[in-house]
Amino acid sequence: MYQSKWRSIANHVILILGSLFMILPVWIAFVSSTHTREFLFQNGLQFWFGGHFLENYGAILFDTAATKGRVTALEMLFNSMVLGLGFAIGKVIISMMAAYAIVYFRFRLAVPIFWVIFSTLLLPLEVRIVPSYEVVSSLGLLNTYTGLILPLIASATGTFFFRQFFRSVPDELLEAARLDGAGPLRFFIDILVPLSVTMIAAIFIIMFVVGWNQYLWPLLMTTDDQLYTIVIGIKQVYNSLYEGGQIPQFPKAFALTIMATIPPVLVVVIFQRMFVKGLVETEK
Amino acid sequence: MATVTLNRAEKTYDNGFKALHGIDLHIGDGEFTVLVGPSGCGKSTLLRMIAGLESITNGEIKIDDRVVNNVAPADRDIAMVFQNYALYPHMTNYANMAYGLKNRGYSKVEIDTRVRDAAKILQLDDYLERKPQQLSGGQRQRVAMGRAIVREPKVFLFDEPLSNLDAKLRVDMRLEIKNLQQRLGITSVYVTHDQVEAMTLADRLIVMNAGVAEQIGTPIEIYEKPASLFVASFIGSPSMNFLNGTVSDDKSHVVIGDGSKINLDHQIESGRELVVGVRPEHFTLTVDGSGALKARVRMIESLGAETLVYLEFGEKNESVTLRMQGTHQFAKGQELALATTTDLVHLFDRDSGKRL
Ligand SMILES: Nc1ncnc2c1ncn2[C@@H]1O[C@H](COP(=O)(O)OP(=O)(O)OP(=O)(O)O)[C@@H](O)[C@H]1O
Ligand SMILES: [Mg+2]
Repeated sequence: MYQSKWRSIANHVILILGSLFMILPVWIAFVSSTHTREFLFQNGLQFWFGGHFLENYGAILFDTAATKGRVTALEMLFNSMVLGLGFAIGKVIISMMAAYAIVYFRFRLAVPIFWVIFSTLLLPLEVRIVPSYEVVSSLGLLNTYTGLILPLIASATGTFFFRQFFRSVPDELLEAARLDGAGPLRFFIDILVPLSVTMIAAIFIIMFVVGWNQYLWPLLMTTDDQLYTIVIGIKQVYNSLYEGGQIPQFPKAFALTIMATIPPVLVVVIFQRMFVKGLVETEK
Repeated sequence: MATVTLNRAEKTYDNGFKALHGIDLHIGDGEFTVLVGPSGCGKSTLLRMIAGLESITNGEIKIDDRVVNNVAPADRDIAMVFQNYALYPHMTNYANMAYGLKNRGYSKVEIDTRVRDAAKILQLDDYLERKPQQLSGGQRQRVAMGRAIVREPKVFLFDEPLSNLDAKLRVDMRLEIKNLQQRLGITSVYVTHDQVEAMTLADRLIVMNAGVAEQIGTPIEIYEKPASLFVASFIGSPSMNFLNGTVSDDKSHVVIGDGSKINLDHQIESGRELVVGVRPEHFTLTVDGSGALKARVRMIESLGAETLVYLEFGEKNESVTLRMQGTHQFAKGQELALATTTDLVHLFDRDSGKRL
């Protein structure tokens, strides 16, 4: 009793310290973003709110001057959203279909093809970034959303997870569906997709965050400011903090950073619910 | 209404394993046929070939007069009930039953009447809006049957549909299936390895062994005239007693073990060695013990309505089982004299195992 009480206290202390360690920087960035730049410059980072929340966030969202480019943060958020959603949805669709073909269709090269796909897990995007750029540019897709998303859409990870999941679906379900007159497409749409909601939600969350945080690829792909994503925007703003001999625009840079974190957090929160609900409801 | 015919149907799996060695079978219109046999003998394989879920390697399968070897499962007009129910977990029970009809393009109204009719027959009215997980095992099995019934197929196929249920429910569902099948008059093929299920449900029984149909007949025919040692040992519980013996010089009886005799009315050459089969329920106790098998009591099991007595005889302590009505008490080691009548004795060739 005595001992376990101390242990539990120790556990909590560690957990609380860990959480503080992770949350504190975000908190400081957030509250500091609500002060004027002069105040911040004189007094250093803040631990409590100042009175300039609306002013700073308004400027960053709607005023191109604040982001040092020809786009507002709102536009960059939109671009990031397109990239994140396109990336995540595309990956879910493509990898589900690939896994479906591999698991349910008997073709000669299914196993080798799977292993080829699987081995690409070992190769990060950066390895093929130059050839990918070549391809996209010769297709004339530079500075387009299509060019931004399409080359990233194949997913070995997703294919692998869906494959494992499909293999765990009982064969009798497929057989029952065949007897019920469902062809391959019907079976996929009516049975497999609804059964995979949990998987879809999980992969969607992960992929959205990965897509949202892409830096190198959008940087290469987009020369037009209009297509900048928020991650590039942040880099841009921090790069130019000390330009021009003015007092650095720290509050607005912080504001931009905070805004960049909100959509992924929202996606995680919203889909996590679905994710858990899916786990509880379909226990097969 | 339909017949199912198999001509020399063979199955070799992709890995080269020959699961069925040529099955000939004709299932009449409205007949309830049960496939029974030990695990791995190819019952499911045969059923799945009729369903079209497995290809047929050689021979042909006909439903009515149509050869269906290369017809897709959905176009064979059959419905199947699986051991693990295979209900779609994300759909309501209503949707589960309606799914096959929907895919076949039935109108909403038609689907609704059929599903509700089936639900009424199966007492599922109150559960239609629930999902399969919210039902008990027996109810799930009924939904699975509902899914088969609504289609009004030519043939019902069942693969051990009751084996996931507890004993009591199994008996209830067995009766229900039998009633339902008789009422709808749909040709049915039913796989089980439970011989009580097999005996009670079947119009005709097919006893399978290692990919071969050992015997086909009504349950009573098979009980009374098992065609081989295998069938004799498989059907009946406790299983038949087998005694090695030699036909006596005057051909009037078989000599067993230490000289006990079992009378014969067959004409079999003297001196031939054979296997005598007697069911546990066909032994009676005789008082004087003349010409009968003398055996010592080893163990007794009282089941209330009947008593099973396990005995051993001869120097090699060969075992024999006796089944008696009512309750009885015997001391361990007590000697009993067992007699039987000639028409209840089964004789099998010792080498081939075939009935003589
Ligand atoms: N896909 C397959 N590939 C190779 N061999 C198989 C395959 N399916 C079944 N078999 C083999 O075929 C034989 C018959 O199998 P089947 O499933 O028909 O048996 P069963 O009589 O239904 O047995 P049980 O009572 O255990 O269900 C078994 O020996 C099994 O190992
Ligand atoms: Mg089986």
